[in-house]
Amino acid sequence: MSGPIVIRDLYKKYSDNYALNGLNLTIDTGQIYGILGPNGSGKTTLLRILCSLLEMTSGYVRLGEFNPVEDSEKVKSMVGYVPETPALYESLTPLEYFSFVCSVRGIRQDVMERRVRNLVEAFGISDKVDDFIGSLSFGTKQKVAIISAIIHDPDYLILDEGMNGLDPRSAKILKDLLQDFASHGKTVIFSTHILEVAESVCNRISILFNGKIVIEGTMEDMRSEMGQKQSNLEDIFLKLTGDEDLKPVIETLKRTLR
Amino acid sequence: MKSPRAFIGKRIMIEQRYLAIKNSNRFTSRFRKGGEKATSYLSQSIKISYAASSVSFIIFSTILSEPYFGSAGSLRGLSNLTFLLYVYLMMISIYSSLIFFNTIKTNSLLEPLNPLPIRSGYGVLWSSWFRYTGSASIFVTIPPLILFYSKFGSIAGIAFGIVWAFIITIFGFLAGSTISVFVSSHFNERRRSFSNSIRGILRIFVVIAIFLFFETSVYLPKDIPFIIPSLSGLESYFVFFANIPYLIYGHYFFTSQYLYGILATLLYGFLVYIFYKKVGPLIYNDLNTTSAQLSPGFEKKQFHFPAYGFYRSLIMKEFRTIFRKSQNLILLFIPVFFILPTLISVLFYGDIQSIGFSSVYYSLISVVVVCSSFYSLVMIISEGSGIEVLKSLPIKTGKIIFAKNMVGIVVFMFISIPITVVFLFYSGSPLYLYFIIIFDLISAYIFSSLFNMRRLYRKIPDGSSTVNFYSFGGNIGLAILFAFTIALIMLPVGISMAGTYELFGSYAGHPVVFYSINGSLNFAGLLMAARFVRNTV
Repeated sequence: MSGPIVIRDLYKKYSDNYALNGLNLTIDTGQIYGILGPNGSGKTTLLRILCSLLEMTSGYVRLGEFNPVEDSEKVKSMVGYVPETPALYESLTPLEYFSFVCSVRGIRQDVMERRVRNLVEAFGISDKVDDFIGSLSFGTKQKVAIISAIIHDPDYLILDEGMNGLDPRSAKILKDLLQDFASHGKTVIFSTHILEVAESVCNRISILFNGKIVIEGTMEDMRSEMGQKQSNLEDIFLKLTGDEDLKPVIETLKRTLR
Repeated sequence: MKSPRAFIGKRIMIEQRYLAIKNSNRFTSRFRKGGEKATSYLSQSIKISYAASSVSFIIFSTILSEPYFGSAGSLRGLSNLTFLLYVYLMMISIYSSLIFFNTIKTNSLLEPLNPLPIRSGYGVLWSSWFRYTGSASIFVTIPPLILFYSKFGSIAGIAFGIVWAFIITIFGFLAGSTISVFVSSHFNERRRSFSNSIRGILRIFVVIAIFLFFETSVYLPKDIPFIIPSLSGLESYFVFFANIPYLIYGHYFFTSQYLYGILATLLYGFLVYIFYKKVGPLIYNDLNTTSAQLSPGFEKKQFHFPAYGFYRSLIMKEFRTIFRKSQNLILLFIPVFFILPTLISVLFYGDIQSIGFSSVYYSLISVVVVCSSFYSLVMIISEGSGIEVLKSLPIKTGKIIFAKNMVGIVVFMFISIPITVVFLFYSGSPLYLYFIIIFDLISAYIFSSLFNMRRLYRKIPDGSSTVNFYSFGGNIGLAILFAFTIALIMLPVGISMAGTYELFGSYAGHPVVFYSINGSLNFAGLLMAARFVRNTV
């Protein structure tokens, strides 16, 4: 049963460092939730824990009533995951790959066929469905990964840099799809570095820095918390992640290159 | 500063190890960041693995040389052993370089080098493989050479032996890389089509035919003219190539052979060098050609959906990923060539009807041991980065292991049934024994490979996003797997022997009883393994 994602005191330790350092977060159903943060802030670690691909060091995580550690199989059946770099079987064709994923997920063949037809046509890869995945471009592989993540109509859709490599048409389709997902009471979580996308698509946003959430809420919440009514997400992001004053860095760089 | 070529060579090897463990908890909990400590940890693991391989090869070879210690050992016996060890060295070099190139190709490890001005990239690959992996297997030839020196005081024997070991290693590397490129070109073709699949399978058969020809030339040189009549009279050249112990030891006893030995060594060294120079750049270029460089096309496609259903899809996925990627397929077929020397010597040099059923059975069971060990490993490492897909899907581990095992069973049956039939035919066994033994061997294969695969699958580090040969400890991991398989398979054999002996006071004259007990035990083992695997989390 779909329900909110609840995370309490989540820690993930690598060596002496905490990738996630006591993270607390609640994501309600029907939301498009953006996870932002500089490189190495813990975004991928968080998403992989939610997908039951990585074990936490300590903490409490629930997707609805399910625990990603103990109910791994159930969680995986409710989640669609698009990894940062598409992990696919390169010696299969997209059609064979979708068929494999759908069978394993227990989708009826007629439903699978209908969905595959619609999705590959929407993403403009119908002429590639019989090519080996290994011979496809990065962007096409990303589309295959996205289709295979949404084809079972998951309750939770988790995209780690899911817009990477997409052409404008496919990016637009994906954004519309995410909104459609959310409107049907499903939860979408995605991490991105494209702040404009996050600002335009997400209902709520978290900014992670050093394994902790430094700010969380809607754009309005964040603006009022920062006391800057006119600021955009980029200003807030740079300010909170300690990179707000980039001018000296850019000047030094220019001098170095000259 | 270290030379860039040496740096790249080392980096390629470190990268392979790193990919195997990069997202594992074991590694990430020690090294959050890269840098010197992590690099030194990876370098250390390469050195340890190299040292352990070298020591294992020395121990293995010393144990085999043991009968020739002391005055009783004959030179002929030592020569035969040396011959077998050089063939073994060549097989190991071919297999190890195949795995090396497979990992490079699968993980596109040469892509970062594309924009760099590197001359003789193939040489970089050779030095990387030879320094960190290939040269370790040369140690397998050292004990008999030292033994020869200690008995006859010939230092030239050691020198010749090492030079030949080096030549054989380069030859193995060249053969491994050529096979890898030859069979991988099938997969790089853009479209999935029937003709592509046929061509891929034909390529595998060409490789197998070359191997068979080579092995025939080594073991049965006089039969070569039957295969290729135009080679009649030239067979001694093949003997000459294979007759390494003669070249290494012969000069000591026949002065005229000394010059012959040097000339032969120089000639073959030169030929291998020419092959290296000519073929190397072509192979490097092929490895550098990524599939993304292939030109796209556009055509409106009709959708032809593949067969559907949970198990069907799961098993078909395994078949497709193995059979379409010829590198994987060749990794399944090549191990058989490790045991062909034993089988051929039993078939053609031994009097198979007089050697007794236990020798026949041990020869056949060696096929099971080799296939079970190698197939379990290959079936799992063939996942590569697909392991992330599998782990993200709601499939029980047991089901994955069953599906993977199906491919191994098919290939195993394809190989083992003809070998068994030929053996039993030559040994004049009654027809019913064919069925009992085939059932026995297949049960032994299934039960041992199920246990092996379960063991390996559970060893995949938590959080891994890819698996390769080094995820399971490289050569040492393979040796452990081998030992584990031998223990698994020999347990029922030992019980059956003891049982037959207990019933009749001897087991030699009661093959039906022995095979029946053994077959029943293997089948019971199969049921137990299946139950064990089904409950695997």
